[in-house]
Amino acid sequence: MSFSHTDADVEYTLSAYREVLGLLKSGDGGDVAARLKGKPVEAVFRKVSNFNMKPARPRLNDFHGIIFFSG
Amino acid sequence: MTPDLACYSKAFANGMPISLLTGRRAIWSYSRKRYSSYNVWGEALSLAAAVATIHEMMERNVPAYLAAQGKKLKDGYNALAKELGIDGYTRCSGFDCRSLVSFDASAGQPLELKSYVQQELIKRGISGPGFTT
Repeated sequence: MSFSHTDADVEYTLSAYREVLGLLKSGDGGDVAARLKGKPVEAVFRKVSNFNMKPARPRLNDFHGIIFFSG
Repeated sequence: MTPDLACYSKAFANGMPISLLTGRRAIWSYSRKRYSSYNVWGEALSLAAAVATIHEMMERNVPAYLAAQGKKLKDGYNALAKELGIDGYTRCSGFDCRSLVSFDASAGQPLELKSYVQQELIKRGISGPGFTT
């Protein structure tokens, strides 16, 4: 939520949810994928149980004493 | 609840780049023995933004407003799901100020359901509601 969200915004969002969930319900049984305009979203985080997908381990001499952090 | 240590990100400066680690004095005093550095050491604009934002949040009681508005959205979503008879596989949960909609795998691939709902919400001008799968 944001401080700028008014009651009207909440009501509009719920009215959109009413339409969209109605569409979702009408797709019960699995034709949702066919109604996507593009590829579905993917998981953001890689599965660490799959070692082939782990990021490469940084080598020790990549660091020079002080580690700089950025926000 | 009073945490021993608490970490905040840039929302408390209205999005300016800054983060905050706070804690009890007894724990925090250990940090004086440590050396730390970072690449925006002298950046003062975010500090000014943080002071202004925190004052605004206190004066207007922003957290209470966010919780109240968020509760309307969360309760509204769950009431709607129940009314449509789909509350068996979708619900809105989490903190009132930051709730998440989730879909159960019993109704299909959760990422496809999420993508479809996002696609249809964006058509209606709504972007960015929180989802989890």
